[in-house]
Amino acid sequence: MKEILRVENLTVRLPQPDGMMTVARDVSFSLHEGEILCCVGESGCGKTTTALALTDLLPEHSRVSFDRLVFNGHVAQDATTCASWRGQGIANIFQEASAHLDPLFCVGAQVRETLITTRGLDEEAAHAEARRLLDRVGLKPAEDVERFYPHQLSGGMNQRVLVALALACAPRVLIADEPTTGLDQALRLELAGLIKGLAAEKGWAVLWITHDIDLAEVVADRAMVMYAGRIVEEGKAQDVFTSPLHPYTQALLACRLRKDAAGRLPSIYGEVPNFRALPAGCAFHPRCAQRLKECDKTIPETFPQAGGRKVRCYLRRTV
Amino acid sequence: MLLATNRLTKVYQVPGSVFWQPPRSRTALKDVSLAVEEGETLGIVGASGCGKTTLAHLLCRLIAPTSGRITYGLGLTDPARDIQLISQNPYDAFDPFLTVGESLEEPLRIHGLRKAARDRIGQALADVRLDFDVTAHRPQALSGGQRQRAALARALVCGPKLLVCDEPTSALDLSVQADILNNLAELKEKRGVALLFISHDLDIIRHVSDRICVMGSGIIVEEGMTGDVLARPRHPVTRGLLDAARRT
Repeated sequence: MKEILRVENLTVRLPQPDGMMTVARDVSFSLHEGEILCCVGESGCGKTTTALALTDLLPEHSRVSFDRLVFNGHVAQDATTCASWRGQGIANIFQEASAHLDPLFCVGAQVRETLITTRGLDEEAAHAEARRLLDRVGLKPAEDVERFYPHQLSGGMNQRVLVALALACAPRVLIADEPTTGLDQALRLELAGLIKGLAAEKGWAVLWITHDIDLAEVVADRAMVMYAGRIVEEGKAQDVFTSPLHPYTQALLACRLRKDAAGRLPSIYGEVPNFRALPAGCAFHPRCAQRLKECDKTIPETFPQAGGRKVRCYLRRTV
Repeated sequence: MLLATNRLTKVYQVPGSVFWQPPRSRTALKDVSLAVEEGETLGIVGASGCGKTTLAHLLCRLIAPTSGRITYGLGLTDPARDIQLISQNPYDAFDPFLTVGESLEEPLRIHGLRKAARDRIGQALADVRLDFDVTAHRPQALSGGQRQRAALARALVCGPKLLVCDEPTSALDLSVQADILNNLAELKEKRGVALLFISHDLDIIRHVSDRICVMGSGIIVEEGMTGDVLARPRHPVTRGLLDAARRT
């Protein structure tokens, strides 16, 4: 599969009242045509920040650095290059669709506006195309739905409008940041199926951010697990979810609620560390049941494993 | 019986999309009758928009029913104090201008229980495994899991008999979700508090509930012991929920 996006050693620092705070460190990954890469991890581990950096949507005065950032053969000189990719090759779907749609315009007008600004269509062509896109994402009859305002649609329908907006951009890369959060199980599956189907049909490379491991297992081709701003494990989704190698991935997967679960549920000891006070060495070591002597001294590098997997843990050290 | 509802109905008036359109009526809950027994966990499950949260708000008397009645058992002498709500989103459950300690003191002040406030707060925080130090912090300084535990502590300070938990784990990570569910199970055992647990996640409902009510479009479509209902679902809504849960 053709590589569409390559990120090498991306580091993001966000401005805080008491100085800069590093929230993503040395993040490297690539996205391929027609592939869904799921980024999983607990809240506050840098997943969304990494995604926002790729389209230059971070707060003002943020600092983004990287060794290499290539999208579709174009090499980014600095973070601002990413802004030109937004809507012109890279599209975003965010969680809480209603917060990302303009409440003053009907959804049809919003899709038309995107088509006119990103694809340069005229008003008439945009009108027909907007109807086709709304119909494609299952908002039927599109002639009626296009006249609705976001507050007149349900959460699931608004989320579909965001998918239609992403379609309007005709992207090569789709960044889906927790697109199913807040939806119930049936709607979650429907939306995931829609995005997965479109990715296969259009050849989108999808970076899917979620903390819902069950859903990630259903949609992902590859998976990467983030903890405290770093990728700690990466590999084929089936490998990562069926035989996790990093103690954090193992602990996270153990927290899933089994159908036959009874009594006390397993949980991870302690809390996700604050970026301002990361522990020395591996950031997971205070919560890790398998820690070694060196874990609290130096940060482990990424060790390659069989089957193209990578794990940032001394337990998986390879010579 | 701790609490029972008799044909509880709630109709909202939804304003028209433009000001000259007359408001429309929308029935969120229709003829809901259920009973919660002392010390049990009653699970309420259903898809988004089926009226679960409206039911929670009615039981906590945050809104008034359009028709129908709520009957309180002898165990609930003061419903405002004895029924407490834990809401879905711990991020907007606290006043950002108050410290956690002040927020925990507020219900005690309202219900005239200030006398042993420090002991009650200390006990509630110990029950949810939070240090007393958090009382000095503002909610913004706490993580999502800590905030939800603090919200649980605030619900506990007045010694409630019934906790209405409205999707208390849906905004939380998996690891924190397990922690909160463990915590609720401990509280049920230790304090004998009854739980009305609302969720759209059947796996969670299966784990926590003794009995369940399945809701669809504002009505209860199926009710029974959790094991029976989930093993032999009779209603298409229940079967649909089980099917969605099976596919993830």
